[in-house]
Order: sequence, then structure tokens, then C-alpha cells
Amino acid sequence: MVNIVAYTFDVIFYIGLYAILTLSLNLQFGFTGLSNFGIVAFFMIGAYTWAVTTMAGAHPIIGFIASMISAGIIGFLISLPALRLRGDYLALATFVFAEITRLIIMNIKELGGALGIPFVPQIFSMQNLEREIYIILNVIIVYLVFVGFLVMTYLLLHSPFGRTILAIREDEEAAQAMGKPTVRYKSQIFFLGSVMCGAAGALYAQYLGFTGVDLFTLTVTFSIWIMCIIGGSDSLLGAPVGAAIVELLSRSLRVAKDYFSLPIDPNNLMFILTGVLMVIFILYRPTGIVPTVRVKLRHRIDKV
Amino acid sequence: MVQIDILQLLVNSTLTASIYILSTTGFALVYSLERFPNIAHIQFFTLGAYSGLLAVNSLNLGFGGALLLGFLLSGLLAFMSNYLVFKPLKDRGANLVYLIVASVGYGTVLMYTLQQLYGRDIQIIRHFFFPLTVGSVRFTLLWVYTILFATSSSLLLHLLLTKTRIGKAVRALANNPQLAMASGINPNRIAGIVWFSGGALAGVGGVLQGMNTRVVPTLGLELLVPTIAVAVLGGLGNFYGVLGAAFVLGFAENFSVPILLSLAMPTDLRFVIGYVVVVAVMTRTATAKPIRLRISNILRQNVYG
Repeated sequence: MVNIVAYTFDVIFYIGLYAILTLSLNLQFGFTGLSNFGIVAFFMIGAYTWAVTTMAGAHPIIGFIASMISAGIIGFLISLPALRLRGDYLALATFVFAEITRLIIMNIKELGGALGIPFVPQIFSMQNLEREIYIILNVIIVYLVFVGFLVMTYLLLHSPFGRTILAIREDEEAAQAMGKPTVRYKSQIFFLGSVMCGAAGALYAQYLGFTGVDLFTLTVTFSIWIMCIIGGSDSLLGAPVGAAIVELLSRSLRVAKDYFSLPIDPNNLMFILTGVLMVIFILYRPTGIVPTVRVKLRHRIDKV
Repeated sequence: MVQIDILQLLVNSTLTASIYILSTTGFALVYSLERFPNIAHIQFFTLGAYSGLLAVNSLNLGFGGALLLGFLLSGLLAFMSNYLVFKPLKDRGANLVYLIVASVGYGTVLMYTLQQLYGRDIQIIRHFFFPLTVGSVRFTLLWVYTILFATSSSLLLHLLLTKTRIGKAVRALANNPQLAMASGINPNRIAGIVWFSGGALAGVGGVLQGMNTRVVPTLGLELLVPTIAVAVLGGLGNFYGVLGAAFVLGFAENFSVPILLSLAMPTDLRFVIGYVVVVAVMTRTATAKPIRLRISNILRQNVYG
């Protein structure tokens, strides 16, 4: 018997988790124009930092902060050499960084190597609680963190800092001509985005009670980009909307497999479908769903 | 103490460099023309390996047939990719990042389609190559073929680029698209040729690498980091840079193996060199004038007085 309540909340948990990651990409790519193709690396650094610090006996709050800071600092350092160059250098540098981080962690025995780290400490104990309660508590935590980051991003965008990064996205040379140190702004945004990924990584590792290199492949980065583009890259609401659409699609394919005999493996089909969907969106709706719907609604209201 | 056989290392490095030349040339050529890094390019390499599998194991076409099929299928796929995905995007004025995102998405579609068709399992191309021993150096006939193909194809490409009208048109389009089009060069035809030949070379590389190791859907992905590193070190989009950079990286990776072994570290860490190269080149480009500019300045001062 499938536990429907637990399953539903599990889906909701993952939507929240991906929404945090997508929000970080929205901030970096949608609002600042930085192409980060190494999202998964900072996610992974967060997860492993959580595992290492809490297993060493650190308080969960300390572990959480450590995850955010380590991912943030590494993101900041990684972005520095590439930020002065054209956008594709940053894309390539982060891309290569993500693959290399995975390779390095896979070859460190102390971090579990290719097998990963089992029995990672959790915020709520899985043994003492019923499964539904355990998942619901985690859902609450994830959405608290997500709303926290959402509010932070909102306030940031409506401050002088936010107007500067929008200016950098629109025309970096003009922003420089206005006397703005654009590289400093961009590296700060990269730091913030990586902090969010680190937080998501910590939440992920503690939810699963496990962390391993196989969880953090290139496909995660790809999924986050799809969510960002489908939802709407320069819209705050785009992050949860995109995350929900892609996650629900992926889950419904997996469920459909149990009821219909699909000729295609659902995991393969998922990536083929979302990839095609992404190319179609880039071709016909590069702004994403949320801004498109908003424009349509405004037209309708104007008519009324 | 780890035994170091310099000659064996030299042969291994040349083999690695040859594979890198085949995998990166198309990436660099397409970059020079289209001005974006096509991440999906590495999947043309994977398709090559699978067409080798198809040709040898299912169709019994032998080694030559495998190479031909890899060449044709990957070239055709690359040509179609440009026609169906990237050209429409460019025509709609998609910016650089969207093109990269689309190439990542498209590459994932290709990889999972191959995984769907052939499964995730490791497969072996059943074609035996005679092992050879010269002195203390051990290699197979396949290595000889790989090195021969890499050298002859780069030589052919060099001749194509410098001696023919098509090559002239490619260089003109890469340098100044507006001027080239004003001179009556058809950019679509040239782009088609460049995409086809780039994909075809990667396909041949895939067949050779698949025969040398094994065939898995992630075969291309494993080579993504070195491919990007070679392209960046060669000066993104520079064909001749690729040739030099492939050797630099091939030698660096192979010569780091005995060093890593003597430090009791896993040899997989040799791929970290690729990342170090990328970062080093970017730091250098960001902080100083490009090396080529410096050399030309020195030449100008010394030669022309």
C-alpha cells in the first residue's frame, strides 16, 4: 500500500528544495545575467559540509550556517577569474568546476568516495517520528528557508544594490561608466546564489540521511536550468512555479509507469521531454510562464 | 617506487592527444563560426561510439565500416542539430547564454535518447586489434590508427582551410560575418559544412575511443572537461590552438599518472589538470594581454624596427 499522504508531502518537499535552487539561479542569471552551469557543485558542497560538520558533533544550526558559508565562499572564489571575461567563460568555468568537484569528492576516501556517506545526522529523527510527521516537519523547514531567501531577494531587488545588478544585466559597460564596480557586484551575487545552493544542499542531505556523489550529476544542473527558464528567469514567482511544473511532470511520469506499460523508461523519457520542452521554451517563450501569464492577465484587466 | 617508462608515457600521451584533437576540433570550429560553446557537441562523440557498436556487433561491417558509419551518422546529426535547433535560435536573436542553455538541454536529450535505445550497461565493440610490443612499449594496432587518423584529419582540415574556396569562406565568416556575406558567401551553406565536418570528426573519435575502452552513454560526458580545457587553452575557436593544446593536456595528464601513483593518490585526479588549465587561462586573459598579441608586438618591435 502506497502511503499517499507521505508521497504527496515528499513531492511538496522536493518542490520547495528545487525552488530554493531555482531562486538562486534566478538571482544569478535572471536578474544579473551570470550564467552558472555549476549549480550542482554548490548544492553538493552544502550537502557534504552538513554531513562533515554535524557528524563531527556540531549543532544543526552551526552545520547549516557552515554549509551556506562554505558554498558561498567557494562560489565567490570560483567566479573571480571568469567574471571579468565574456559570459561564456563563466559558463565553461562553472561547468568544468562542477564535474571536477564531483571527481575530487569521489576520490576522497574520508568523504565516502563513490559510495557516499550513510547515516548523516538529521534535524528530526526518522526513527522516533511517524513517516508523515517526519516529512511534514521537513516540508515546514524547507519552505521557511525558501520564504526567507525569497524575502531577502525581494528586498535586495528593491534596494540600490538591486537596481545596480539589473543595470549590469541590461548593459554592463553603461553600469561601469556610471562608476559601479561591476565585478564586485557580480561576485557578491555569485556568493549569495551559492549560499542559497549550500542551504539547499544541507536540507537535502539531512532529509535523506545520506549524501553521495551520484546524487549530484550534471542532470541536476540541467533540471534547475529548465525550472528557471520554464518558470520565468527574471521573476521571483518563476522559481516555485518552474520547480513545481518540472517536479510534477517527473513524478507523474514515474507514477504513470506503474499504471500503463510505457515503452520508454520514465527516467529517460523525463529528460528527453524536459529537454525538448526547454528548447521549445527558449525558442518561443524565452521569458517563461510567469511573466507571460502576467502580461496576459494585465491585458484582460485593461479590457475590463 | 613507481616504475616510469618514458617511452610508454610518450605513446600514451600521443594517443590521448589524438582523441582530444578529434573531440575538440569540431567544438572549436563551430565556436569560431557561431560564437558559442556547443556543449551538445560531446554527444556527437558518444553517438560515434554507438554507431561503431552498431556497425561491428550488429551489421558486421568491420573496422572501416564502423569508422564510416560513425563519420556519417555523427556528421549528419550535427548538421541536423544546427538546422533544427541552433539556427532557429540564432535567427530569433537568442543571446549567448540561451544558446549555451539550449545546447546543454539538447545534449541531455541526445544522451538520454541513446541511453533509451541501447541501455545503460557497459558494452564492448567486438573487434580484436593485434597487441604490439616494440622494445618496452606496448600498444595495439588501434592506437596506431587513432594517431594516424588524428594527424591526417588535422592535416586535411588545414589544407581545406587554407587552400580551398570553402576554407577561405569559413575563415572569412569567422572573422567578419557582415563583410563575408556582403562578398557573396552563403553563410548557411558554410555553416552546414562546418557543423557536418565537426560532428563527423567527433564521431570518428567516438568510434576509436569506444573500441579502445568501452561504450556507455556517459562516454562523451567523461571527455567534456578535457575537451573544454583543450578548447579554452587553444584560444576558444582557434583550430591550430586546439592541436597544440591537445598535446599539452595529453602530456600533462599522462605524465601526472606516475606522480599521483607515487603520492598514493587516485589517478582519476589527473583530470583536475583540465580545470586548472581553464582557470589559469582565464586568469591570464583577464589580467594580461593575450600571449599572441604580446608575441606580435615583440616581433613588430624587433623585426620591423
